[in-house]
Amino acid sequence: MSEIILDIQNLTKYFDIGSFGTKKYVHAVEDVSFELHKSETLGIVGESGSGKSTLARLILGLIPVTSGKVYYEGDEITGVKGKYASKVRSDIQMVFQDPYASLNPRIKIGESIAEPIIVNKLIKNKKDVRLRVEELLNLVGLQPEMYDRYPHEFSGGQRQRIGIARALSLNPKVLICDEAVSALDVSVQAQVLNLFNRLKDELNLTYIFIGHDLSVVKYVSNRILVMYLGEIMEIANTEDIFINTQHPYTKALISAIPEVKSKGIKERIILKGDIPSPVNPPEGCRFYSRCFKAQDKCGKTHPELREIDTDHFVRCHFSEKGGNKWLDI
Amino acid sequence: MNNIIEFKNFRMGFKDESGNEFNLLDDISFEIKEGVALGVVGESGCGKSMTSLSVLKLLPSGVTIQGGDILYKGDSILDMNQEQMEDIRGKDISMIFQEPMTALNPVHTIGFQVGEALKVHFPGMKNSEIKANVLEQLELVGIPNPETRYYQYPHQFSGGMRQRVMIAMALICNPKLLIADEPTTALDVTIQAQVLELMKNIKQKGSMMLVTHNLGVVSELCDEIVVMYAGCVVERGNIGEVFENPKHPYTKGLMAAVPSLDSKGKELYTIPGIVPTVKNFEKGCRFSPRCEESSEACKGIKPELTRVGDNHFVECWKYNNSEGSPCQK
Amino acid sequence: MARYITKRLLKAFLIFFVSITITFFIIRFMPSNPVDLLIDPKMGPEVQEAMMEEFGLDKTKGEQYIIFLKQLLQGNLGTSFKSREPVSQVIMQKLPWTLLLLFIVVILSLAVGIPIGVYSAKHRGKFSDKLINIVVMVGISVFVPFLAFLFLYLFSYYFKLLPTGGAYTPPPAKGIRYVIDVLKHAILPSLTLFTANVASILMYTRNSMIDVLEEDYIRTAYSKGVKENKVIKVHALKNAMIPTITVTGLMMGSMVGGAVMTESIFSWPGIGRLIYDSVSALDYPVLQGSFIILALSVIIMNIITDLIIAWIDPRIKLEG
Repeated sequence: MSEIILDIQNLTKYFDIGSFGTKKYVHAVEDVSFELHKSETLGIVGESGSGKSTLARLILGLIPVTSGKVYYEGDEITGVKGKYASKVRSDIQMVFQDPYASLNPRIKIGESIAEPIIVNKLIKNKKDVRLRVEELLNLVGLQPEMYDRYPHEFSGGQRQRIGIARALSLNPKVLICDEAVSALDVSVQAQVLNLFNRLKDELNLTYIFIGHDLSVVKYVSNRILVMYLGEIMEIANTEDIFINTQHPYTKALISAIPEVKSKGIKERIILKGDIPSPVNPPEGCRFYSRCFKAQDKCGKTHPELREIDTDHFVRCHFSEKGGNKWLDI
Repeated sequence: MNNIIEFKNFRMGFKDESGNEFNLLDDISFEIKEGVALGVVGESGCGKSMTSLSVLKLLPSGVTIQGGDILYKGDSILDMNQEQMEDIRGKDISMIFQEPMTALNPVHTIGFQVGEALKVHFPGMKNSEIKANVLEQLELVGIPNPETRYYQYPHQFSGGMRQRVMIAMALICNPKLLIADEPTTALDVTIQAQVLELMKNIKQKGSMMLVTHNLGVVSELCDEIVVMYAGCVVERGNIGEVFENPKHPYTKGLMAAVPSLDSKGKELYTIPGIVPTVKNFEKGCRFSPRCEESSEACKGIKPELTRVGDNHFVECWKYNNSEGSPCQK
Repeated sequence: MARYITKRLLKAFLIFFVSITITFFIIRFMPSNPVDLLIDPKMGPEVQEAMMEEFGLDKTKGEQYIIFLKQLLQGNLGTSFKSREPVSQVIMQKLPWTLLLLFIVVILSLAVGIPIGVYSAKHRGKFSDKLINIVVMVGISVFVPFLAFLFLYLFSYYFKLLPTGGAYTPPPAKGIRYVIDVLKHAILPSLTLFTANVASILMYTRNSMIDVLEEDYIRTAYSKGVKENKVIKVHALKNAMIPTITVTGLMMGSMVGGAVMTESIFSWPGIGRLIYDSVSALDYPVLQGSFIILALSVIIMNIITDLIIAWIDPRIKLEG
C-alpha cells in the first residue's frame, strides 16, 4: 500500500455528563486506531451512538481528545497550536451533511467559498481570489456566474456542491465527508457521488467517507471500518468486508440493506432490541446484547481487535482466518 | 378484487399570495385494491406525500382541488363532509408518519394515544376493554413489557420503539387501509430492518399504501408500485414487471442512480438537470426537459397513460401508438 | 425529587440573599437623610442625634447591614421610621389588599386571555385574528397611569358610577354590604391592571398555540379521527399552556410589589402604595421590608411555575 497520510493511534473520547459527583461518561470513541493511506477512500459506517461523527471531529481537532494521538504525515497533530496547526487544518477539510446550515444566508456563495482563502491569506489579490473561486465552482460542476447568488437560490444538491467547493478552497489533501450525501435524493446523490469520485482522481485526494448507508459507502470506499458504540468492530478491504464478513454486526448491517430485487427476498438478520446507550457501556463485548451468535464468554470478556487475515481486523472472539461459515444462520 | 381507494384524474394545487394558481398533482389515476400493498415512489417534491394526505383530506390550508375525484369504496371522498371524514380517519383508513420523534404528543401517555382512536370511534367501549386492546396491540407490534410501557411517555421510547407505537396506534381499529409515509426513513439501519419486518407481518391484514423514496423498501414490501415525478404518475404497475422491465425514462434513471451492492467501480448513472419547482413545470411531459429520449413534441402535450403490460402503465409518448401521439408524426 | 427541592431551595436562598443585599444598599445610598424629613428645625441638635441613634443611622452602613441581617434572622423586619410600628405589622396590613387585587386580575386575565388567544390562533390570518392583534398591541403599548386616569375620569368623574379611590367607604360597613363596597372600589384598579396584563397572556397563548397547531402530533390526532375541538383541548392546549404559565408566574410575582403606580393613583391601600409612600418618607425599614416581600413572592412564584410545568410536561424531570 502507498504511504500513510493519517495515523490514528488509540483515539479515545469520553464526554462527561455526570453532575454533582456522579460519574457518568458517554464513551463516544474508545481506543480507535487505524491508518489512512494516501489516495484511498476509507469508509466508516455505524448507527447512532457509534461515534463516527465524533471520530471525524477528533481527527480535525475540533474537539479535544481524552487520550490517543493523531499523526499527519508523520507529525503528531493532537493538541497542536499555532502556525503548523493552521497548515494541518487547511490540509484536512470536512464536508457536512447539511451545507445549508453552514452557509450564511445573507452572504453570496462566492464570498462564502472565498472566505477561507482570504482568512488564510492564500491569495492576496482580490481579483485573483474571485478567479480562484470561479475555478472552484467550475470544478464542482457549477457555473462561475453563480458567484453572486445567495444560498436559498440553490437546490440541495447544488448546496452540497458549494460545500465541497468551500472545503476544496484551501487545496486540502484529505477530505472527511460526514454523511455528505445522506440528505440528498437518489438522483442527486448519484451526481454528488460521481463528483466525489472525479475530484479524487483530478486532485489526488484521500477520503474518509462517513455514512450509514452501506451500499453508498461500499460504492466509494477501498476499505471499510465498521463502528459500534464507539469501538471498531471490523476493518478490511471493501471486498473482504462483503465476501469474507467476519463480525456478526457487519453481517447484520449488510443484510439490513433493502435492495431492489425482482427475484426473491434475501435472507435477513433481524437484530433484537435497541442500540444501547454509549453511557457507561458493559464490560464484555459491546455488541453482546444484540448479537445473534452471542455466547457466555462474550458477556464477560471484552474482545480485542485481532488481525485475522492480512489487513482484516475483527473484534470478535470467534472470528478466524478463512471461513465465516459460523456466521451462517 | 375491489378497490379500496381509487384516484380518478385527481388534480390539486394552490394559490400564491398574488392569486396565481399553480398545479401540484396533475391527473393522478391509480387504485389500491383490497389486500394489496402499493408503493408510491418518487423524490422530494414529487407530490407523493400530498397524494397520501389527500386520501384523508388532511391537506394543508390553502390547497385547492382542481378536478377529478378520490373514491373510497366507490364513494367520493371529496364530497364527504367533516363528520364523515372524521368517521373514516383512524377507523377505516389510518396513517403512519415519517418522524416518530415528533408525531407523538409529548404530554400524553402511550396508552392514551394508542387507545384514543378506539375511544373516538367506539364511544360505548369500556376503559378496561380499551386498555386490554391497547396492550394486545402493543404486544403485537413487538413492544416489550406493554403493561409498564402503557403508562410511559414518548420521550421514554427509542426511535424504533416510537415507530412501533405509531404502528400500533394506526392498527388499533383494524383499518381497511394503512397509509405509511416514509415509515423507516428516520431510523437506524438495523432498526429499519426490524420495522420493515414488522410491516411485512402486518401487511396481510389489509391494504397498504407505502410512500417512500427508497426503491429497496418498496421492492421488499409492496405488490404494486406507482412512480411519481413532478406531480404526475409516470409509471405504475405490478412490482415485478416495473422493476424488471422499467419503461419510463425516469424510472429507468432512478433505478440506475442507486448505488447497488454491485455497482462498484462504475460511474453511477445520473439524470441530467434538476427537479423542477412547481412554478416552472413543463406544459407537456414534465420530465421532458431532463429526458434523454424526449423529442421537441413531448414538451407540448402531456402524454396519456398507456398500457404496456398486463398490469403495467406508462405515461410517456414513446409507448403511445394512438393517433395524436407526437412520436407518431 | 428531594435533591431537586434542596437544590432549588439553596438557589432560591442565594437569589434572595443577593437581592435583599442589593436593595439594602440602594436604599441607603439614596441622596437624602430620612431624619431631615421628620425633624422640626426648631429641635435641638441633641434631639436630632437621639433620633439618629434610635433609627441606627449613626452607625456605618456596614454595621447597619449586619444589624439588619441579624434582625432578619430573628424574623424582625425593624420598626417604621414614620409610624413607629413594627414593619411586619405595617406590611401585613397592606398585603391582603394587594393579594385581593392580584387574584382578581390574574383570574380575569387567564379567563379572558386564554380562550381569546386560542380562538385567535385557530382563526389565524382571518379578520377576527387581525382585529384581536391590533387590540393586543394597543393593550401592550399603553402607558398604565394614562389608562388609570382615563378610567378614573370616565367612570368616577364623568359617569359618576364608581368611587375615585381607597378600598372602601369609611367608616367600613358590615357584612355583605362591606364586600360589595370593597368590590366596587376594586373595579377600577383591577380593570387597569387587567388591561395591561391580559394582552401579554393573550399574545403568549396565541403564539404558542399557533406553533403547537403546526406540530406533527396534531396531524396525528386528526388522522385518528379526533374532532377539531377535542384536538385543541386534549392535544394542543396542554402543550401550548407552558409559555402562558411562565408569564403568569412572572406577572404574579412582580405584581405583589409592582403595581405601585396603579395602587397610588387609586389610593389602594396595598404594598405598591406602601412602597410609594415609603419612598417619599425615606422610611428605610418599610421599604426594605416591602422589597423582601417582593423578592420572596417572585422566588416562590418561580418555584410554583416550575412545578406546574414539570407536572404538565413529562419530559421535564425534577432532578438536580
